[in-house]
Amino acid sequence: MDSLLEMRDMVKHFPVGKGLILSRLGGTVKAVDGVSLDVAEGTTLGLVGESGCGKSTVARLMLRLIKADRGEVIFEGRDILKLVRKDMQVVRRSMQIIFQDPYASLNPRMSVGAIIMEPMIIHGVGNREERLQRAEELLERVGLQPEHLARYPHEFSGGQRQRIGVARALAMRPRLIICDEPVSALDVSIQAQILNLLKELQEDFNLTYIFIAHDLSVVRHISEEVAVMYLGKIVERAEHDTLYNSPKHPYTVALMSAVPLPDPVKERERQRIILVGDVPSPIDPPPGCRFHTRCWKKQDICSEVEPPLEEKAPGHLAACHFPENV
Amino acid sequence: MGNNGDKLLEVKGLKTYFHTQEGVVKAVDGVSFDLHRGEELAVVGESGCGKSVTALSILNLVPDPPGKIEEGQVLFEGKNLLEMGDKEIRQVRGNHIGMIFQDPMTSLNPVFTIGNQIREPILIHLGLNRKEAKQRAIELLEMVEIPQAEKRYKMYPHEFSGGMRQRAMIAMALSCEPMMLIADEPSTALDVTIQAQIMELIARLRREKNLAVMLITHDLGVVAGVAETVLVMYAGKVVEYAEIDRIYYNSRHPYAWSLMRSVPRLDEKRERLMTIGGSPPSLINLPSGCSFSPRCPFAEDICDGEEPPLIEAEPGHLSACHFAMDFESHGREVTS
Amino acid sequence: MPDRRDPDDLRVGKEQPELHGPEIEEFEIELEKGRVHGRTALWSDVWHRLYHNKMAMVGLAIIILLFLVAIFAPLLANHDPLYSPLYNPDVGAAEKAESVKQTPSWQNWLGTDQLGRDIYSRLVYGSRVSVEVGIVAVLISLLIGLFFGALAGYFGGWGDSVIMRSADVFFAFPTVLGAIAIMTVLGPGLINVFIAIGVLGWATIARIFRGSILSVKENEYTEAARAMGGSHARIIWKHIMPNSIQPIIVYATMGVGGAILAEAWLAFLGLGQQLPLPSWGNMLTEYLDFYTTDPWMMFIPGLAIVISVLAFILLGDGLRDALDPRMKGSI
Repeated sequence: MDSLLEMRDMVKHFPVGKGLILSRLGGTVKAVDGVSLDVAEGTTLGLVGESGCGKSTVARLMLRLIKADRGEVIFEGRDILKLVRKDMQVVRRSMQIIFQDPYASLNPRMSVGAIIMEPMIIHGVGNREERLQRAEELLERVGLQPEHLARYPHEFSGGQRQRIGVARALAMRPRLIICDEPVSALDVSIQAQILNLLKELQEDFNLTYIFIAHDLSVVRHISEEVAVMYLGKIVERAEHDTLYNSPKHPYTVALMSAVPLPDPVKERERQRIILVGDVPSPIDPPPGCRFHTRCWKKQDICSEVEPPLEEKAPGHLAACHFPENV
Repeated sequence: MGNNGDKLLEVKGLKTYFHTQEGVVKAVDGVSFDLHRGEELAVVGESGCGKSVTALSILNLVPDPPGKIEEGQVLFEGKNLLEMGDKEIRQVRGNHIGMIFQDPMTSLNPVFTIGNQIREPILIHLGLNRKEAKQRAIELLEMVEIPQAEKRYKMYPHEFSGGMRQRAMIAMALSCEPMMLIADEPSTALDVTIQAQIMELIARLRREKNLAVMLITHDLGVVAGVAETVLVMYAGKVVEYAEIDRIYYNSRHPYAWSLMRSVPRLDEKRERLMTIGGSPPSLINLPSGCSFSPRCPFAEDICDGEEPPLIEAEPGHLSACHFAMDFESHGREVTS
Repeated sequence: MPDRRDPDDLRVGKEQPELHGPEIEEFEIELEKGRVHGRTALWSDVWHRLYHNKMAMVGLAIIILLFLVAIFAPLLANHDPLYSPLYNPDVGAAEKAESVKQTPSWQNWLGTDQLGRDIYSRLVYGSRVSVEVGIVAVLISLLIGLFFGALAGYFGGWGDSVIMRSADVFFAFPTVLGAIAIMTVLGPGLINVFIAIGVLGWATIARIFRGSILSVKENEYTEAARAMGGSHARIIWKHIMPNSIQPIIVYATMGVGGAILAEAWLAFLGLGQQLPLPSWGNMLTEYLDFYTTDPWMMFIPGLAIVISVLAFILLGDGLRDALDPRMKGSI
């Protein structure tokens, strides 16, 4: 299967503290430090990690919302980081994003109709009639009613606002949608609605998703492939069932062990791996393997040599000197 | 209900309403439950169900105005907390009942050191002098596994990570050896690996001190790991109340039943998650009859008309549903 | 499981007020990630809340009255505000003596001043000055402040630092001295008062606007607009402006009151509207001299000033609460 999007060796460091000169000497937050990934058309790549791992930054780098320090993003065969504004505008039709916060992702002063039609207006597509028509179609497709076009975001619930966000993302018929924690801020009973909707849409429109989340259970449900990030790097990547049944990187093992299951009997029987200590600071990541400070398998080489991300089993990449389950 | 310890807390018919411009918000509308010594009770529900307000009502911390505890009793060791004067109830807060909140960022005062804040309840309630209080505070920091406790004692909240701040909050809540701990979403704002640490810590402390814990959360996974009894709330009311295994494996209320099936699980992949249509109702204009009926896949006409009473569907298993025993076989004919 | 028709329509429209309204979210601690989402106002909502605020409506009524008086001054005044019998050769000496400092009567509704001029008419014409100062000075502050505030807030970088440090310089200046300094350079006329007060006020507006922009800029809907390919202009105009303008509206309203007050003390220093043309400030200054003999005189322009300023404060307060009930106590 061809990759629709490929990110190569992406690096983004943020300076610590803003300001003119002196504050810039304080060091950098190595938010994304050499990340490569790719996603095949029509599939979903899940990107998991805890706070500070860089996954949201990766999303924004992909869309050129932030300027990358180094690296390439190959979309439809071209490196979009090198495109001029005019060409990038065209690319933007094909790549869209859905945000986490249903309350902050819609402009409270714009009607739902205006919100959904905005991409069409920006790209100069159709006349007013056609845009309204399409907006109605989109609303219905995401499970809302055409009369909602005239209403304002604050009149809707969190789940409904997310649906509006989805409608907005679909307006220009994108090929790829980046979902940045789209269900984290929603109630449990609403999460399922949105996840099902996303899956349906993917089937109907052959959409490709990059699904970013910290909730492993959600990611498992919706992704074909999953990549795990830790402190700015990808530490493991595999096809979903393989990852969950046979994780290779200790961090992944610990992560999965930490996720509580809504099943009291299983929970009582479980042997948990509880990591000791906090996540190190991305300003000063540990040398060698970044996870070694919390890893129970750590040996000398781990703090000296950074393990490369390589294939430990067919189609299964991990960055560890002593992987599990091999 | 609950274990064999004696009853520590009895909440009877608690009603807390908020009087706002738009109308009266019935945040808690007739909630009753018990908590025994050493028991861990989880109060589960989605946002707006009233679980946090219940916790605040217990300690009479509801902002008034616009909130008001309209009815009900909260008996702690037999005495009604709601009838206590200011001075009396302050003897209880922090001393006999400790409370930890969701977001350690905002619950700790940024201008005081951690040590200072942990010391405060000790000075107020235990009558130790400064030196003794400091010693005790450092012991507490060690108890919650904060490394280099002496050094950390002098640090400020912003120098602590999220997980450590939550531990500090736990230390503060337990400083006076309370009999009971109310934990309001203690791990929601934390990363999953840190969440596991914190829940493990609370479990350990509970065993060591025979603490009763009232855990408030929306996370069904967290509950499964620690709770003995579960109270399910919806739209301000109790809809189900039973031992944990019953609720998870044999729920007798469509809400919890559907919820269990709509949660994505790490250990299985389901093709399509079951959903509960619609969203939680507004607490100002509650629908008549059962508040869950608009979303209930098994609702019948009676559900829209009459509010179901909380009855004992099975021994020790309360449910507020007209068809508690056999709801799976009900439901209007609906064309999909 | 039969799929019931999505009962989301229960939630649409005003009949079912949203669960996540500010009243509830203020007291529910289990918010998503601990954040509090205020319900933002749309203009009809704003008006509705304002309308129910009695104090604000009182303020608004007084302001409308003030504007009407200023606009229709020639119609409302029943005497020539500049006419003084003392300078009229046709008036006899005895009459002249009589005409001065008369307490209110049917002839002169608010009495006459030390030169026999009708106080009421002077007051009415003086209102024009107050209204002009209020509006023009604030407009000048807004023009300068919004422009630089937007530059600093949206583009940031060293431009932001330069602009904000300049604003700091203006803050450091005591307003009185600043006004005097400017008017020394420009001259004592009325137009210069507008300029002086306006120029001194830009810094606060810039700071408030910049702050607003900074908090709105990082919102996800702004990111969404960028992801869609929106231009800077579009983002500023459609997304950032409408959401950052509220505190400015409040501050500008109160600022009008402040400008009116400023005119008064500048007049005390002899700056601004020059006699014999009336302004409330110079009237007050004149009549102060007579506080031992005819203390009632100074109360008239004094009260006019106080009531007007109070009206703007009441309206501003009301606007602040109406725009975002959660903003109570801030600014």
